[in-house]
This record gives sequence, structure tokens and C-alpha cells, in this order.
Amino acid sequence: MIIRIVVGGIFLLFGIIKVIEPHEIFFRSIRDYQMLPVSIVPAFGSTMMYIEIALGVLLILGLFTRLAAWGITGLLLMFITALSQAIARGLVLTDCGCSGSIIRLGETPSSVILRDVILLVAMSWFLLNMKPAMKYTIDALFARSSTTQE
Amino acid sequence: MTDNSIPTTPSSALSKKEQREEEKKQRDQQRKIEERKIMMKKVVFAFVLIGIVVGIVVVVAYARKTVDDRINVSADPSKGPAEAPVVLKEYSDFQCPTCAAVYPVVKDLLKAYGDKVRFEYNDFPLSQHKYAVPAAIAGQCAFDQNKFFELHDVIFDKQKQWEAASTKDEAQNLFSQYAEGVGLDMTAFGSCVTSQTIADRVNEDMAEGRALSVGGTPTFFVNGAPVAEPPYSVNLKKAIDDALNATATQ
Repeated sequence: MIIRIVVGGIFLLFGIIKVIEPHEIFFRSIRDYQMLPVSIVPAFGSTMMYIEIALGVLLILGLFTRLAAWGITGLLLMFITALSQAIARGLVLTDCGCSGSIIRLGETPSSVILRDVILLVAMSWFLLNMKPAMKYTIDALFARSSTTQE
Repeated sequence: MTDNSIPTTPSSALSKKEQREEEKKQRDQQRKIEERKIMMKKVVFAFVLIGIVVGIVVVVAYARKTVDDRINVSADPSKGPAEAPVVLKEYSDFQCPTCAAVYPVVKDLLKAYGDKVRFEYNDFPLSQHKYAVPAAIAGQCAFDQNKFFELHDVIFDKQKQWEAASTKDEAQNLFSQYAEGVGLDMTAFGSCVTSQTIADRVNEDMAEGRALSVGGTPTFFVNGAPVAEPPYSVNLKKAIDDALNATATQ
């Protein structure tokens, strides 16, 4: 439950910040990675921020918990890949594009990778040890209601 | 009368095993229907929850944008009297070659019009320019020491030198050298370039530019009206003259 709330909370918070602040700040961070054609960056960035919010909400509340956990794991893998290629190519990242400019964590690209790897390990452990109906989740409430009906 | 219907096996005719299988099949079907119903409820519930959260965030974001993004919170580097009848506002990027080429034009215009024009500089560092942000930050730090335009000119004059730097640190060292050259207090400059307040000031300029639909650099506004594309020496002069005429007839 702690892993769910911490990891889901981070995704929810960072997603909210990205929506609240000028979107160009996030789009610029994405462009700095030089992985996507510039023309699709606004569409990709706008989708990403809402996906982060959706997955964060689902993981915290424990609704479609497995799906949310897999989604977040996928995003973490994507972030680690993007950061690693930026470091390998010697790209200058003015901001990792993680938490926007409202919260400045003062992180270097390698410390962001470390943070993402820690989150990835936590999510992997969570997925491996996940029970069909986990406590304190909405999934568990639905499962209970279905067994009562039967 | 003949009966053509297909004879059905009465349940009594089924063996116990077959009856059990039939019941199991029915139970499975029932369970599948129940599961589908629950899945639908979960999907609807998820959409409603996410919709509520996203809705709140979007409302907050819109409220912030209407207030923050359109109001210039911090002062911009400027030249000319505050009460000048014409305000020439530029959105510029220190790493943009056209901006470097156009700054002497602006300088000449300011000289020619004297107190009639006030010039306001705004940062709009483009993401494809990797040292544009540190250059903008260096400029803002010079502004804090009232020497913005001194450093501004050097940064543009030496654009080719610092944009060839292989790392951000190397570019930063060059900006520090230029800053020292124009007589900035280097202790204050050193702590300024890492300050979040200064980075926020650059972001504020960007947000303001976007609110004014600035898409590239240089972009000029004369008394709030955007100025057409190059040649700037002609178009800026014409826009300033028009603005002066307009204020004279008022």
C-alpha cells in the first residue's frame, strides 16, 4: 500500500504540475531529448501529462491496480531510456522534464535515472508480490461485492 | 399428423454426469455475465474519478494561466524613459543568429528616436538552442547588477565563440568571462546563475511571449502591435513612425 501511494502520488503530483504550468516548459524538455520529431512533441507531451495523472489516480486508489502498475513501469522504463540516451549523446538538458519548474529537485540527469530505477525496482517488487484482491483497494471492494452477489 | 420438430432430450433422460456438466456450464455463463457487469462498473468508475481529478486540475491551470501568464510579474531590461510614447518590445534568443544581426539595427533606431522610444527586452530562448537558456540567465544576472545591455552586446558579439562550446560548463565559463569583462561583481554573478528566481524570470518571459503568440525570434511589438517580418530596419522604423503619428493625433 505504501509503494502504491508513494509511486502513484509522485506520478499524480508531477502530472498535475505539468498541466498547471505553461505547457511549453514541458514540451521544451521533451524536445531537448531529441528523440521525437518536433512536430509531434506538443501532442505527445499533452497526452503524457494526462496519462501520468490517470495512472497516478488509479494506482493510489487501487482501481485496475495491475494495469496501472504495468503502465507506470512502462513509463519509468521509457524515462530511463530517454535519460540514458541523452547522457550517452552528451545532450544538454536544462531540465529533465520530470517535475516542472514549480518543484525544483535540483537533480542531475544521473540522479534522476537513479530515482527512476529505485521507483522501477519498487514497482517490479509490487507487481511480483501483487495479490488478486489487495487490501485497501477499490478492486478489492468490487471483488467483495461480486462474491457477495454469488 | 406428423411431428417434424427435432426431438429434445428431456432432463430426466440425461445422465447425472451430463446434468452436472450442464449446471456447471450455466454457472460459468452466469459468472461471466457478472464479471462483465463488474468490469463495466469499474471502467465507468475509473473514468468518473479520473475525469473529476483532471477537471479540477484543468480549472486550476486555466485560472493560473489567465492571471500569471498574461501579466508581466517582474521588470524587464529596458532602455528609454518610462513615459515614452512608443514602447518597442522584443522577444529574443541570445543564440539566434537573426537576433544577433538585428540588435545593431535596434540600437541605431533607439539612438535616432531618443526619448520617444522605450525598448524592453524579453527572453524567449528556443529549445533547439542548447546554450540559449544559460545565456538568458547570464543576461538576467547582469540586469540585477544594472549592466544588462553591456553584457547583452558582448553575448551577441561573441555568439559564434560560445555557441561552439562543447559543454554547458564551457559555455557558462565564457559567459562568466564576458561578465567579468563588463565589470560585474563575480561573487554575486556566480550565485545568481544558479538561482531559481532567475530561471523563473526567464520562464515568465517565455510564458508572456506565448500568451502574445510569439512563435520565434526575434519578435517585435510596437505599442502592443506585432511588427511584420524583416527587413526590420524598414518595418520597425515604419511601425515606430506610425505609432508616433497615432499618439500625436490623439
